Amino acid sequence: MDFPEDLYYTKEHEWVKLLESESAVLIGITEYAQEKLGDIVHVDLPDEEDEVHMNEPFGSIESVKAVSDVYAPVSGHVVENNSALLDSPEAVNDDPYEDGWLVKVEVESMDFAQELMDAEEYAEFIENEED
Amino acid sequence: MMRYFSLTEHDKKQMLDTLGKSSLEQLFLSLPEEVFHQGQLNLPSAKEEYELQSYFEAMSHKNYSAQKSFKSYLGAGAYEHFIPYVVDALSSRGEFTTAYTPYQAEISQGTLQAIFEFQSMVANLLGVGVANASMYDGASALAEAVLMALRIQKKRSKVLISQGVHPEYIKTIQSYIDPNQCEIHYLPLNQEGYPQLPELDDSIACVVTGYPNFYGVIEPIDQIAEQCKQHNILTIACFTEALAFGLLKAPGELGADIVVGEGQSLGNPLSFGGPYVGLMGADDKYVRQLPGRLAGQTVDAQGTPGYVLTLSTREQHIRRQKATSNICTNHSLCALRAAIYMGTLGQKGIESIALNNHEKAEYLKNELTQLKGLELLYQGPSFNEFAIKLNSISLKQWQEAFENNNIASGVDLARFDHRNKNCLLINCTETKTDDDLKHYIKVAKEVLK
Repeated sequence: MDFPEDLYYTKEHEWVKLLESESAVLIGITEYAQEKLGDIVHVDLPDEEDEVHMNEPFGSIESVKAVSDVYAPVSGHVVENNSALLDSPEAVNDDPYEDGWLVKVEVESMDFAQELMDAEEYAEFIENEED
Repeated sequence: MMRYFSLTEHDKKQMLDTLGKSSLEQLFLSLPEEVFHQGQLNLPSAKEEYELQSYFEAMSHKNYSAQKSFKSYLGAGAYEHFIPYVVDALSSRGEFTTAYTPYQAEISQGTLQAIFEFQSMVANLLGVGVANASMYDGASALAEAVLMALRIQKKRSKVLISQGVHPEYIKTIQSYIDPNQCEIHYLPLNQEGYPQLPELDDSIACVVTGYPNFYGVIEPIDQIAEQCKQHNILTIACFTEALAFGLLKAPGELGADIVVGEGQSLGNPLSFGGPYVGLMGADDKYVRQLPGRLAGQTVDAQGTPGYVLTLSTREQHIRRQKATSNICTNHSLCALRAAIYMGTLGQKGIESIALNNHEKAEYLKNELTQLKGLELLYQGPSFNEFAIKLNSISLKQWQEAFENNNIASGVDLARFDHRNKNCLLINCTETKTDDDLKHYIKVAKEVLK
């Protein structure tokens, strides 16, 4: 399973990507999460300018099996949401790290990085969870 | 199914024995003495079955009934229509008379298909992409529609409501919706009975219109919807008489985003005001914000068509903390009757009944307004209901004269709004014959003389 090295990961199976040129981050769900959810049929995202709060749900992903909340790995406000997902939610299944991103958030501080896992830690975390 | 039989002495003894008690008194020993009723119950002596039946029949004859003893021109949200016998015959089948919620598709195919057919016909009738099945009644459907609009328009909190909307529906909105959640403004009606829109802006979530409205007037929802669209305001069309759409262009086709109203006219009897069936539909793109249940059609692994409750995640049995509403029954039997009614009549039948309603009501309206001493309250076009104002005599005199002729002449509008003193809402459906209408006009002429 693919967990890119340049991303941060949460225990709720979201990833965070720092965008070098700006103080914003991209947020999505991991390949592991999309595989567990199964075929995704709907994604509910916050509007632009909405605030998100670390560890609180900011949207939901509905698959043929269930609806799951997506928890914010950071605090800040939404600068962009991936509105393409409204028409093609399956992008989250097909390409969770690129086309399947969920929101771009302007963060209040970079402290969140300390709370998150790197690729190696996340892979280990999943292995333990599978056991 | 278990039938009800009262307890025999033997049953009682068996239960007491199991509990290790020797008598009922001993069973209730722990209760304080003062909560027990002292002395004899104030009941008449026992009657034979035949006597009992006669007694209740005599009681029931004291009621006026729309068909038997009185010619009723009462409408105002509940309409007397002819119901083909097939509706009673099919809907009373035991398989359908269940309170069971058809969550398990495996054993509910008949019920689910009936709901699916109901939704499809309602969507067609209202001119919308999707309809749910079903709400309690028109009033609660409208309250749900306003809540739905506020969910879609997350950042807007103003709701404009035409004063032509049924006053009881407006009360239902007021009791459903937290006053902190939104700001409600009422739109006064002009001479035609059309709501007067203020200058629209981006703080308004939705505009609620009546089509036809409480006073029978067909509000110009196409114009209202067009103005609303310029500010991304949702238009909610609300009706009390579903059969109107056999004649009028469907509200969804005229630009209403959400369409709600009462479905009683479709095969459900007056029955003292309920239970009825709320109809609710919306544009496809709002399907996830639609409250209540939705039955969908699919195919199984073998390709055989099947029916399931779908999009249930916004309903309360899954993720109930995220449910879009607390609506929890679907008045399914009433919805089934509506489906059978629509299925029986078909599009042509509904069109012809609607035309019949309209023509009779127009005849009555035209004849009445030629008489001196009364005038139309609102001038706008109407379907099968219209409001008049008496100028020369009191409403009491008018009603007494009609009652002496076994006619319930209409609904006193002052009951809903004190400003409408001496005003009467008159409804006329296909159940009135030409002779009935002539009789009505004759009585009107006499009383106004």
